[in-house]
Amino acid sequence: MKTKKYLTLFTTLFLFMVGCSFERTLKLDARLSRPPAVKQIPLRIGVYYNPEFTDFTKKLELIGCGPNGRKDKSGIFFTFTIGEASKDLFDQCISSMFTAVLQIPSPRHCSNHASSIDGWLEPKIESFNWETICSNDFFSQGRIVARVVYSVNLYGCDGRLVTSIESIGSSSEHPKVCLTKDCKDSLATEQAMQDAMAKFMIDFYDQPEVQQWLSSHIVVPPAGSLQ
Amino acid sequence: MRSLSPLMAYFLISLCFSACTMVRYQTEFSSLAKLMPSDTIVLLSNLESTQRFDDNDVDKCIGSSMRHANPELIFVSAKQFRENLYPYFMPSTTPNSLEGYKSILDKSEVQQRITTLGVRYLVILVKSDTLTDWHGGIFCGAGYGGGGCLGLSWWDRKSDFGFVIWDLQTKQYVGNVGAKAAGTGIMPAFGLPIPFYVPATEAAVCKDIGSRLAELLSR
Repeated sequence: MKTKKYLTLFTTLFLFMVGCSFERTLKLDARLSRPPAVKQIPLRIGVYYNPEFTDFTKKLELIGCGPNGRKDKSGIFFTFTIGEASKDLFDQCISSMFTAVLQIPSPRHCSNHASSIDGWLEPKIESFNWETICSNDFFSQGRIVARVVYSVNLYGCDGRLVTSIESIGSSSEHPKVCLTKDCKDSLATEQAMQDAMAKFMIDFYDQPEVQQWLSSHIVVPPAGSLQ
Repeated sequence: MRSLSPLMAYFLISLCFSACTMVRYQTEFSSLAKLMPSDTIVLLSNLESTQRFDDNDVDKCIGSSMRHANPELIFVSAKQFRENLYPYFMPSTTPNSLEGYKSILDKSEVQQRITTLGVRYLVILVKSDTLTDWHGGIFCGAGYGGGGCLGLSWWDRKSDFGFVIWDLQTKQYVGNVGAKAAGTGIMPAFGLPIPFYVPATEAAVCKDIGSRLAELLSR
């Protein structure tokens, strides 16, 4: 363990001294350890994943903090595989929101699909930001802040857009730079994704358009049981 | 020049005297039931209101002094609590009002998970402000023969922390605790700038709130 720490420190110092850059792809896994504490809506829902969503990645440079909040480039770059991890998390969340979830290959009318569904969802990643916030004092300290914005479109069976729900998630943590391959830290990104998805799950039930749409699809009004 | 020396000495001595850290504490409780042996406590940060202090920071802040003051207190980790209560109590979905708490705690699926965890009291951070104001100045220079710094800097640091306590079983607001601390740090530079005194205002506030909270919950 100590050897690894020294190796990381040595590599960072060496890269800094020779002015080289370093790149690492973060393997993100934002799946929840427990199913969410929500009641299921008795509906069959389709989900369409646009390749733009599942393939979404972003490469960003780590910024360090100098005296009095000065921001210094580190030459260390991280590639965040947001799309793949968002898909896994979204799958898990909607599976606990609806009694049946079916992945559909194309955004078409429900009648075009072999299994009947009541409507379908299409998630999108609007933006992802990851930065270091430095305190302004002489002994400046930094915090890593991750922020992700999703929008989820709900379509009815006729292909009509029922509503679009935007959810913003953020998280912050003390920087723990890890350059070895077996690093499991997500540098606040997984928490930001989980936060945004939590916001979506709660907001989904509160949308008047969704409630109206739900009341036309399920016999028992959902208001009391879903809130 | 001679008349300046006593003045300078007086100034330095005054700074040294004001360099201690002073803490003021305030509390307000409506009802606080005695903890049963199976009751547990969870300490959370409210990341929407204060991004600088996460759950681990809160645990380090008041958790350690609470455990020190009363080793019999049982805690549920913030991670375990958030995992069990998802999608509630995430940074964007943590309630901030009495109505918000009631609407979440009224849900049967939420109550079921709280009962399983045995959480009685939720202690949540609502304020964590630390302000630092720098004075004086240090001048540094370097040449072929060497380099160094000369001067004096001091800084006033103020920390203001506040926590709110909720009873998750009776679904009631219990009260709030807060503390403020102020201190002055000194860093003279005669060659190298070396901090003479660093005011640990945050540590002082944390220790004070933690020990008092442990005392209140142990009554």
